[in-house]
Amino acid sequence: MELELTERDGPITCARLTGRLDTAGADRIGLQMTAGVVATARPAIVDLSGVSFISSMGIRLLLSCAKGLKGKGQTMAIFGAQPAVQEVFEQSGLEEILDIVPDEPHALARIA
Amino acid sequence: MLDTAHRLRLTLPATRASVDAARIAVLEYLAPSRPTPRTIFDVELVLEEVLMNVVLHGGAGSDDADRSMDLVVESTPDAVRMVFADRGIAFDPTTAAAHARPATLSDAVPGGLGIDLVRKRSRSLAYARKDDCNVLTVEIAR
Repeated sequence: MELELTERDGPITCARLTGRLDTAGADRIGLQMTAGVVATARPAIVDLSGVSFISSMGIRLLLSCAKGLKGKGQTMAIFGAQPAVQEVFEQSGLEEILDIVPDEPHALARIA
Repeated sequence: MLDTAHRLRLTLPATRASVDAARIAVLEYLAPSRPTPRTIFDVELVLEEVLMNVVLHGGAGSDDADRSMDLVVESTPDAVRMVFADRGIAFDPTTAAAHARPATLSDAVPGGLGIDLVRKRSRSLAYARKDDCNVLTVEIAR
């Protein structure tokens, strides 16, 4: 699991994840993601287009970040989920409250 | 290790590191039967959720190398059958209450999703408490 953090105009945080967002993956990027997304207290978009697998521990990390940002008065939108990953979100019942949208333009609109 | 019925048998310490080790071993075992990407995803998800549940909630500690988890995997033409056994705290996922779906982000509590996902991804799920062991049998459709 790899995490790339960049800052965009706004400023907003863009987090690009690549690999398997399972327990091992969430353990690997958890601290970096929390520090880079939540601690900065900026709106954030999370690109999952490079994520091939997600488990409940991966969803837990995303949920923790979204809640952390909300506690700071900011929003986080997730986009680019592959169909198999999208199905897990739908089955988790968290698809709507996690602000999961199809692509980057929708994500940027969601946090505007 | 394969038994005489060509089933994969694994005994693993109840630690987080075991989850990935089990995944790799199961994928190697299933590869000759050419599972579909969907079957692989379901198998990986069920493996992770069930084993992590044992690791996190089966004992007094959160990551207890003194406890072990047994796994038997059988590949049939129409299913992958996985039998999980552990001597942890008795827990029947077939009767556990479903995770409450939060209405808002503020209401959402991280965690508790794993068993729901196992139910949704499996064709059948059966639990028994035998000889102080949790024995969970999960079938994934091919």
